[in-house]
Amino acid sequence: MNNLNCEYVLDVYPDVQSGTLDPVQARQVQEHLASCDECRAHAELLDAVRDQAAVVPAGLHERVIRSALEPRPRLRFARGEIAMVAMLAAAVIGGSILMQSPQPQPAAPQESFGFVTVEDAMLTGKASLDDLTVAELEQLLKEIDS
Amino acid sequence: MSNPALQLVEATRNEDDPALLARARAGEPEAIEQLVRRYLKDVYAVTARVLGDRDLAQDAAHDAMVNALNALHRFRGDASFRTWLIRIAVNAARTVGRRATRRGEVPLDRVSEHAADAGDAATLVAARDDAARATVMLNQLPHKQRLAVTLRVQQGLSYREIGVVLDCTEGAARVNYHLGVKRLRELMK
Repeated sequence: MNNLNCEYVLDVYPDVQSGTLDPVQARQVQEHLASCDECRAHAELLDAVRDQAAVVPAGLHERVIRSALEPRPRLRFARGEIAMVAMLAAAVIGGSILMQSPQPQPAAPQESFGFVTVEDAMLTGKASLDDLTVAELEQLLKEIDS
Repeated sequence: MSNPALQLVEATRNEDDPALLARARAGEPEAIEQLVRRYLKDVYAVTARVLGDRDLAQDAAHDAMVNALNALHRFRGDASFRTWLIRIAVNAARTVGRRATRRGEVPLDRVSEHAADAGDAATLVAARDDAARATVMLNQLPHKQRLAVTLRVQQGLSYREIGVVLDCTEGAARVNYHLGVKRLRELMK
């Protein structure tokens, strides 16, 4: 196995598939795959996913083009109607301000997995995505999204 | 002597996005048609992945492309046109899925699994080769993971672009991709 780590290989393998990765790096990725069973299994899986891209059904191109080229009707309002709509909008907005409910309480903090946060663990180089379990990856997602 | 019509077709086929978009904004039918032929495949691939139902995916892809073409003036160029379009496709798919659920056609939590699940004991039996099984299993993943894997592998989007489409950070997009691949591998065992 060469110097590339498995997380990097999984990250960039789609770029190898599409031919957009630098040729030297692509060769290094292929060398890594030749000697890493785990990464080779992931690569075969990603090849299978790529091979199954959906095919556009017959007739859909023409249907979309026809709709896109149809002239769009222009809505016309009389001045009186515009004034009435504006008054109704003002009434609705004013009413909603009066009826505003109290702010919701923030959610309780989530439990972590023995690090200060999983992301901290990664920043100190203690773990890579590849080393994290499914549960730890889910925890990391919650921390990132919060 | 060369055919001017063929020259125009060849020119638009090789035309890059900014020039093509400018002509489409101006309402040129050939440019609009070229955009559809260039991008509908990506749009449909995404709606099919979100919805897992061919008919719903067609409706969503149609709506996404038409809405995008009618709103070209709103494309600011912060992301690539393709990324912008794919984001519209994801939103259109969700709208079509919710509409189908309200009409009682498919339960919302089953929209994306519909094709993978039911009838499709037959589909699963038939999907003996890994490629077809991967598609069936991909539909079992949670929404963001399913999309992150699809957008990275089938559309070749970067994590930053996936974040734009999924309305999450680049880091979250990357984690969703890794999580999706790991879960998919477990499902395939």
